Amino acid sequence: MVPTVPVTSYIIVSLLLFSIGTAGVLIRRNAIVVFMCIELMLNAANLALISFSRQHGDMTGHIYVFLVMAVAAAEVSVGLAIIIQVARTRGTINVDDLKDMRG
Amino acid sequence: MEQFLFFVFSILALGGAVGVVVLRDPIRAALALVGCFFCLSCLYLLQAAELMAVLEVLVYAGAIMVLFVFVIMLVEKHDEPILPRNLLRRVMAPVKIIAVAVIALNFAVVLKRAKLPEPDVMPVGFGTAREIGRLFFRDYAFEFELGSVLLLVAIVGATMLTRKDKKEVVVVVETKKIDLPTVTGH
Repeated sequence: MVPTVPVTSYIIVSLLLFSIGTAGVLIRRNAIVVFMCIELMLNAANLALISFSRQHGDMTGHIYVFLVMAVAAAEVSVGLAIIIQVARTRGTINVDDLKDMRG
Repeated sequence: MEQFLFFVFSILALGGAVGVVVLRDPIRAALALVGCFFCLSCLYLLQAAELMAVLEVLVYAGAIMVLFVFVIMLVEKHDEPILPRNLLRRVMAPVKIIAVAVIALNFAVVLKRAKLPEPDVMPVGFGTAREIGRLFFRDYAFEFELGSVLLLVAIVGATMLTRKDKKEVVVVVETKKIDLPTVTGH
């Protein structure tokens, strides 16, 4: 199979996804949506890893993607547990209202 | 054909991503994210990353998003106001978007100039579960085990965090009550 789409196009898509995720983290105030935007950024990185992996014909990038998925699963389970606890004790998950630890 | 599929799936993926940021209802944002992950998995498939495409759907669109939807339904509905109450933040939101766009544009210009080399010829069995498994257990066994330990720790941590333990709360309250008179007695 001869690839016809250049790697640069995939990297551009990955860049756009990462930027949209960053913008979401910066402007959204619902903690769960902020978490989803972080997942979006991780996936943008995964797309870049897979593109470079294909470019070099080397599967080490796939190993990275696998480990990123494992870390994302761990992060989400613990992070959502924390969000549930915060919602229970504070009654809000608006990140603007959760500022007790601000210096 | 490959170009056509690339355009369709990348535009759908970007649309889903924009939906996550724009939609106010968290459930809708989660569904947009699931659509985005499906399109991303198709993009992986276009790059011959079979196993990763399957895992993307199984792990992300399946497991992780189910967890998200559960938590959205568990946490009562907290409607996010369209505009933040704080005036400074209201002004800052477009500024943040512009800043991110400028940074992205810089990277795009750098990428355009970089002229990435054309893809190498892919080896036989590229991206299949057999080859990735071989790589994992031959070269990256330690990293694999580290990932497993991390997942185990995360499971234990998540269950500990969400457990409602009323006994501990009572004990804390009682010790505070005992402490108070001894402090005032001095």
